Amino acid sequence: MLLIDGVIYGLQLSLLALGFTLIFGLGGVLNLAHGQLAVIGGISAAVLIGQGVTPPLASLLGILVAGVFGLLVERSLLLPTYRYKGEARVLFGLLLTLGLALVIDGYVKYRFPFEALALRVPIPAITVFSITIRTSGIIAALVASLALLSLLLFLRGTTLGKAIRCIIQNEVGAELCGIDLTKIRIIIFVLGALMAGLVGITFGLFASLRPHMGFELTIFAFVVTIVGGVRSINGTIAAGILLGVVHAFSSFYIGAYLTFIIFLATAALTIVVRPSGLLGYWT
Amino acid sequence: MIRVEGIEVSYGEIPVLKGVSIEVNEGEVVAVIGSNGAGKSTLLKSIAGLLKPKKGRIFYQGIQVGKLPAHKVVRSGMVYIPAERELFPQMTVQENLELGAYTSGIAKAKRETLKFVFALFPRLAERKRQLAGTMSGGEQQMLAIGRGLMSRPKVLLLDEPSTGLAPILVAEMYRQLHRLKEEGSTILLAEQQIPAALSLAHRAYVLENGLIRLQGRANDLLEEPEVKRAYLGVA
Repeated sequence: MLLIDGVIYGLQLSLLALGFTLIFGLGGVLNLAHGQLAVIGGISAAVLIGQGVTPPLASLLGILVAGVFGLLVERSLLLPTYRYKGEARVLFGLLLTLGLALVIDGYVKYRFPFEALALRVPIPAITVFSITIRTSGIIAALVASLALLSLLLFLRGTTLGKAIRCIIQNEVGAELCGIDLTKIRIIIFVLGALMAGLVGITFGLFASLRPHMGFELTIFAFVVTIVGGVRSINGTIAAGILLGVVHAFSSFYIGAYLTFIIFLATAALTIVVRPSGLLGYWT
Repeated sequence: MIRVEGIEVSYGEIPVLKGVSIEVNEGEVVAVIGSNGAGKSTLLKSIAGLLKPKKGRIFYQGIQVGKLPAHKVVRSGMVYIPAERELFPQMTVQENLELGAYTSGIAKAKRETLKFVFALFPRLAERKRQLAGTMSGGEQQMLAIGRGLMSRPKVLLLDEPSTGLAPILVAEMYRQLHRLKEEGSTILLAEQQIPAALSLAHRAYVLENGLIRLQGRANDLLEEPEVKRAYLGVA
């Protein structure tokens, strides 16, 4: 039961962290506003539902809002960071996205303090082999798995996906193949934002997504990325599921307030034991 | 085909090229020779769009390309093959080659080019499922050249293909380059292995401290006392 809850939660973390790690791998920007993108998606959907839009349509629109917002951020706020290279770009990107995160957080909390996305499905729970699982949780897991799977197929099987992976492995080499880095950076940031928006929605399925949750989600994405190995796609997915399970067990047995510390401790331990992440540097 | 007019390039404050002009005609193999740090790579990287000259102009087929980004230069038909190879280590040989053909949209043409590259370097065909990062230096160099050829370039900018290779592999590499030359490829080659480069090239430039010191037909340069003394170790 706890295990299933953990896996459901972990799949969302994987999805969130995958966008985070792809954006970092490609653009060299650690997007500290990543969790806020999920909040934008989720809260937009909640507001729309409050206006009388049907939940499925509102969810779709919420994801789109997150994507469009991502596009605007990439094309405006992040442009100056690409003028720098290496460490300077990472630091500059950190500052800018931290500022952005604070602005989004402040605005959403001020404007929609009591808004929360909680999507309920008609059949509350099903029982399989005498285990009762919430239907909404299953839907959340299915949606996230489907998104992860299509993303993996896209990255492994299509020319554009391979171009994305090769940039992560060698930027200069990619340019010499005639790949336009700027264009692909935009694609990846928007894709990352869309995935974050999706997580904002699926979160509403098994928990409720509230305006203040942005930073928590960002930190979770960050920790999953570290545990999975920065820039590693398979590792990130595995780490998300693992940490989701850790999260479920520690919340249940130890308490939610310590879960954060256990999370960070897991990350620290990974850095000590396996500096390149769970599965190493495989993109 | 390529005309470089008095380009000046610096890394930060340090000038590397101090007004270099060269020319490459269609079907010609031109070598730029010189010692380490003379500016050979810088010259090729500038033509490839990886570095921006502070002064001077670069023409390719009559069009100024000095300000184009590198990926557009590739689309225009010039491919730079770096001494550092810049491969994708966690992808297979085949995937590396396919990405080399990123700019060409036609699947059939891609397959034919792949066949051509495999014929040129049978070693790559044998290893097509191997990850590029696990190959030897010589194989990686072949892969770098093969990847460059995959876009069907009109001009190859070849930067020190002999870097880090054992002499026997250098000879092997140059045999393949001679084949490319016979097929009429236009090649601009930067090289420290002077005898190998001059035996391949039609013409050559000697680059020294960021300036063209000598130029002429490759055979004539081989006989030039200055070249012999400075680069071939002959008194």
